[in-house]
Amino acid sequence: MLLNCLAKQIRALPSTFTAACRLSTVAVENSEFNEIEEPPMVYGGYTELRQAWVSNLDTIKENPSTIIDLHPQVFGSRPRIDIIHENVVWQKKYKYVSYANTKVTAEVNMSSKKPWPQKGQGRARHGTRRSPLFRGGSVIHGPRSHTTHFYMLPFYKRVYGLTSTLSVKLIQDDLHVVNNLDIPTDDPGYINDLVDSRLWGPSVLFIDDTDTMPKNISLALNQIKHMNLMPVYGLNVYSMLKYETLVLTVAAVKKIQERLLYQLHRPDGHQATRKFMLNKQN
Amino acid sequence: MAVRILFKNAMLRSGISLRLNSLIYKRDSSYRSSPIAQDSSCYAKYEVSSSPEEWKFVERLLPLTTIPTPSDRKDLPSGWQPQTATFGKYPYFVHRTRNHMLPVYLKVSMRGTRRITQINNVDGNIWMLEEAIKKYLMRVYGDKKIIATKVHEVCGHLCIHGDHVSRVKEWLLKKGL
Repeated sequence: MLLNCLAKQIRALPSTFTAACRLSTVAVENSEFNEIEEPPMVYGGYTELRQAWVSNLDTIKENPSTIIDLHPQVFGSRPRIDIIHENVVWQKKYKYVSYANTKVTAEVNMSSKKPWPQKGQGRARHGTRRSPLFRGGSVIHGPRSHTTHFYMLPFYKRVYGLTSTLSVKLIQDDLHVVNNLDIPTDDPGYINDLVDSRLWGPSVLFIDDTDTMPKNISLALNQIKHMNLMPVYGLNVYSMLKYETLVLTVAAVKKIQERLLYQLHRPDGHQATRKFMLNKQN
Repeated sequence: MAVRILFKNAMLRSGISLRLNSLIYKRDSSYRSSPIAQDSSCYAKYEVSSSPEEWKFVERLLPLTTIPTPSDRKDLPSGWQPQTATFGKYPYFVHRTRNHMLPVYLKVSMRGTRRITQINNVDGNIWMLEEAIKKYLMRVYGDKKIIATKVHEVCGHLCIHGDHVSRVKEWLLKKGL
């Protein structure tokens, strides 16, 4: 409901507004688009490049224009499936708070009177009926609520999780590169047809380098619940596995490569691998 | 502080001017009493330059963003050798780590009773590498020692039972990897 209201508001905006928002990034995209053949940052002694077609979204029929070089360390790494699994488990757990709750003896709502005299009844001695020995009494070592399961995965496991998942997606032909996310209409049927005709998975994740997405694709994907838009800073292992197909723009590929290669080759890696502190930025 | 108060009392008795007294009574390490910072030209003489010859001295101070490529010299005192073989020379390839070191490690487990030599970053045909290393180690130790290996093809890991780190490193360096 809220999203539909938002969609109405976005439709009401003048088209120049979103265009102006994207103007800066579009200019950058176009300038970089000519330099695709330029080799990325670090090669080392690495294997042959990975490559992908740069296709388009403005026609339903696929019309690949150029080939983009993908860095083998980011898109062609040996996938560590164990690290991918660790990332998924971490992403599920760090936001999970357990509300399972039991009462300790002092909290049980029951009389605190001594149930029977200490001696002379032939019965076992008891001081209170709240104790765990009684029915309706407290629970020993039971769960106490608001138990957070937050923990931080080691930094390089997070980095290798991203490179492994990107490599897996590429080698399984679930990663596609497009020049930009511009589509001619905001009709969700158009994007559905496009995804069907290109045999992309039913669920698709579109990734751009900026969070100011083009107007048409935002409105179209607002109606489709199994497709989503995401900026590069939101890229994560869980979402990449949740959506079957990953569609990256050229600018997004550049940014992902630059950031991940920096992390893989930075000389001050020990700064990033320090113990995680909630009040400190790593 | 106590010394200063003592000093001030002595000053008052001897009747020194009030201005000097206030100077003496100035407190350290207080936000309010500390003087307001002035323009930076008051503290140091400087001039702004935009010449590229001088900028290179600034660049020298900036932290590096990537680990630099080491020299190709083979006679370094540390014994470090550069990787001379290129990808494609052998059917297999072992990439150096980000610090340009050999990715050969000793994994000690089971309270120190199990020692496993692990080679990471293996690319290409890992089975050929396994065969070659096994052959080399058999030649070194003779046929009596069993060289048990484990190959993880997906991750590119090769594990050899026992502590053969120096032997494997020697072999890899001899191959130029």
